[in-house]
Amino acid sequence: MRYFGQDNLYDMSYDQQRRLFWEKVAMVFQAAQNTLNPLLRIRQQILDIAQDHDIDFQQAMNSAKQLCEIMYLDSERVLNAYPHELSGGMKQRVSIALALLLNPSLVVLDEPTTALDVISQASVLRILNDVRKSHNLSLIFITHDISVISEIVDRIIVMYAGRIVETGPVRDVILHPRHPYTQGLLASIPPLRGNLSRTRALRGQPADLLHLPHGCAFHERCPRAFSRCRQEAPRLLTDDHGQTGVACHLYASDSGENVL
Amino acid sequence: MRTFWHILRKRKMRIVGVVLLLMFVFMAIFGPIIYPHQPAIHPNEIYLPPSWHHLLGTDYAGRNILPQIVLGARNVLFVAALAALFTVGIGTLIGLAAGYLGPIVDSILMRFTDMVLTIPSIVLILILAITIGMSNDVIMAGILSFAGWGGMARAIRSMVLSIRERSFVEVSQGLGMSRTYVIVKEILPNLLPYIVVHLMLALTGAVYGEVGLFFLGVVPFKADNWGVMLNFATGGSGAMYSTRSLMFLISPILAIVLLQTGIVLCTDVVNELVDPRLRNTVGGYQANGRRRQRRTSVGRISVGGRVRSSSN
Amino acid sequence: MKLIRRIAVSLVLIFVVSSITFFLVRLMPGNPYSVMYHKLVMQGMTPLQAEDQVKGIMNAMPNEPVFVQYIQWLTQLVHGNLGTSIEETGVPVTELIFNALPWTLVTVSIGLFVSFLIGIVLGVISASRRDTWVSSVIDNVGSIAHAIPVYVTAVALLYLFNVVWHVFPSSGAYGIMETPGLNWPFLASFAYHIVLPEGTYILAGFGSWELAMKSTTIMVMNDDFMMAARIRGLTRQRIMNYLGWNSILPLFTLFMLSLGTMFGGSVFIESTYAFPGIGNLLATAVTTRDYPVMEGCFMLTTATIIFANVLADFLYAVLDPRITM
Repeated sequence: MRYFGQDNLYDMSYDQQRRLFWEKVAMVFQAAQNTLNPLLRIRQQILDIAQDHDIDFQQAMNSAKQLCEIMYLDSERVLNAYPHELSGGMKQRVSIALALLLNPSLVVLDEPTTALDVISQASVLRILNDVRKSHNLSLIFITHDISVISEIVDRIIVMYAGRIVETGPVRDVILHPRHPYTQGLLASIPPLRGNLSRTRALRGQPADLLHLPHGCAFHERCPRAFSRCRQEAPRLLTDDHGQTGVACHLYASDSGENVL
Repeated sequence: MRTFWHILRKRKMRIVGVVLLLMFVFMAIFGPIIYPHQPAIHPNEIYLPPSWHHLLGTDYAGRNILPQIVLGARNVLFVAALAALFTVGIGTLIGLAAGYLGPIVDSILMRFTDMVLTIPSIVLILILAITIGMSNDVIMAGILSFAGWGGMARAIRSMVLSIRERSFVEVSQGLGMSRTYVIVKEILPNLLPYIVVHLMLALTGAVYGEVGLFFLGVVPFKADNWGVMLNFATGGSGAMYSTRSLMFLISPILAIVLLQTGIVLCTDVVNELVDPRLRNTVGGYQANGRRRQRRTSVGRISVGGRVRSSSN
Repeated sequence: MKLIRRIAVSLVLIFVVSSITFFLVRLMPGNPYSVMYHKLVMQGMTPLQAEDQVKGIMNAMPNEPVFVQYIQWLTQLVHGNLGTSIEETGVPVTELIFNALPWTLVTVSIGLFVSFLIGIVLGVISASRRDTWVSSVIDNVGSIAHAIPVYVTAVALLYLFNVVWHVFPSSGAYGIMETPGLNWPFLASFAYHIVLPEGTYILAGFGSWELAMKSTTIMVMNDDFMMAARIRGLTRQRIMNYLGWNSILPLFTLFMLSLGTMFGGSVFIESTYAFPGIGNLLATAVTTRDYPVMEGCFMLTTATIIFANVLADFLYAVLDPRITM
């Protein structure tokens, strides 16, 4: 991420960056179990955040208690606990609560549910969905598991090897995937009912980011690749409103015009 | 051989280290050929400054110092190398036994190891040295090896415990391979890098202990050991308190410091030579492992610096 | 509860070490006590007198079977009697040791503390400037200083600061004019006298702390919670604070080894600077073959280290919430 609103993150001083982080943008990490300082009680970690962002201790504790309630956490117990005394799901919910502590407008969630069992996954997602509505904030999910989040998100952006390959409203992308990678992703999800043999995995290995293939990064694994894919990288072509887009030569005319 | 040069050239200090160590090994091997006789006493050449004839000057009895240093290298290096071998041998054996022969053997051996680890090794060596006596070099090396095997045994044990959980060992066991086969063919090769590096560390420890015993004067003097020279320089001869006798004091000091420096710098070389993971890494980035990739795409933290992001 | 267990285990350990010392000395060829007894008899003492004298020294009758001697010796040990010195005839070993031990405890603690401080500061610097010349200089200096034997450092410092530049005294723990106690002239004189010994302890000790601190710091720097702390917008100061505590705590496990090395080093350092501590006592006892003193020093040093370890473990458990005692 380089820009937030008008501000270029690279041009900021440490303190400007520091102010932006958590007050405007917060983050929930993939392995939330390890994102808490193991030596401090949760209460102390909340106070540390409050102090460094010039927020009154009492006020911070009050909102922390509220957030605990939203997260179905016993605030008395959790706030006085050390991280190792909490279960994985609890730590995950604590780190979500921490992310919401300063009322940010954007929360980035990096695989927030992969480290959890299925039941905790469901409850964490339900909580996130509720919080999104009640706190009026934006969420960005980073995940490889489309099925889990498709209930919550509005838009999906599919990325391969660091580039956007497809974007659009969640219904469009899931029901009518256009990029072969998106199609492959969706085909690899085992269906709840029906024939398991229809589930397929993409062939090959994820691209080596240090040695990206020439042309389209996906062409070595793409079932529909043709000669042009090996020669030039496709640009992201969007429709008139910028709502949906795909980066694939299959959907571009020879002149590079938009055929959507 | 080419990798060896490559590793050497990466840091200039490493070349210094190898040269130093080779110099002392050369002294130890060819010293007695260069100086077949003990340096003679010349009562009217006491404490001469360095000159062409006496490169390091002369001592309190007018003897040339350089041959004493050169001849001392053999005794120091031989005993230290032997002691290092013993240390590593005992450490590896006890570690292997504790890690591989099951929980009962393990807990007995580890209690024993813990006990040895709490005893200050130099003190134990001192007491052993005078009760057992240091009549010959092999016994001396054996006593010195008491100093360092504890830490090594613990490390080897924990490595064996983790290696035996890995699939290739289980497969060998499942195929009905004998214990000896599994240990020699599957486990030892994985421990080898650590063992080799520890051999170098044990060498510095043994030099420390051995020269120290002579320095304290608790074992029968050998004519040509740097510790004996240091003992005479600081004690009996009174050389310590006269600036004239600087060379007699500084020569054994320099010899010990240079030898230890050489060994330490060579440890660095050996470390990289036997552990291929330290080679060929691009800024610590390895292209395998999802978590690693993740981390680089989110940003790398540098203390006090900014979060740098590679995907923008 | 675990603390009580730890103390009990330590007591057993001390008992085992003492017993080993007893048998080590007596079962060796040329048991020094029977040699002594026979020498006394040869010198014209009656066997009874000789036996009596040896008994006063070693706390057991020299002509009984070793096991009976062991019981006699143990009974005296439980009563706090370690026999008497051979060199300083008639002086109880305990008296010699308790006169010497405080000096060593104070100097070793100061040395340990200062070298630990220097080590962690250099370790953090080296870790944060990884792969630069700064880090490689610090690491090389640290590991070479660690590998240079303490007696070499001691002799070199003594020569430089006493013989060449008469800056610091060469021997003793305080000036002859002072009376030990809590008075300023004594403390000042003591501080002046321990500069060189402490310098030696520190030079020999900081390297291992530096290397250990560097590796734990690098490990913690790569931990997820450090990045999380940065993203949470915490101040630099607080992030360094998180980093520091998380890197320092694992070093407590090195305490045991380090203390052993320090006490071992005190044998060389104290005999070089003629410092009246337990290391010097031991070195003298070893050169004069004063077995009761030797055994006593060995047992007391080991006991001190064992209890210092219990203390360190206890402290570790207090500081690190993940560890329970």
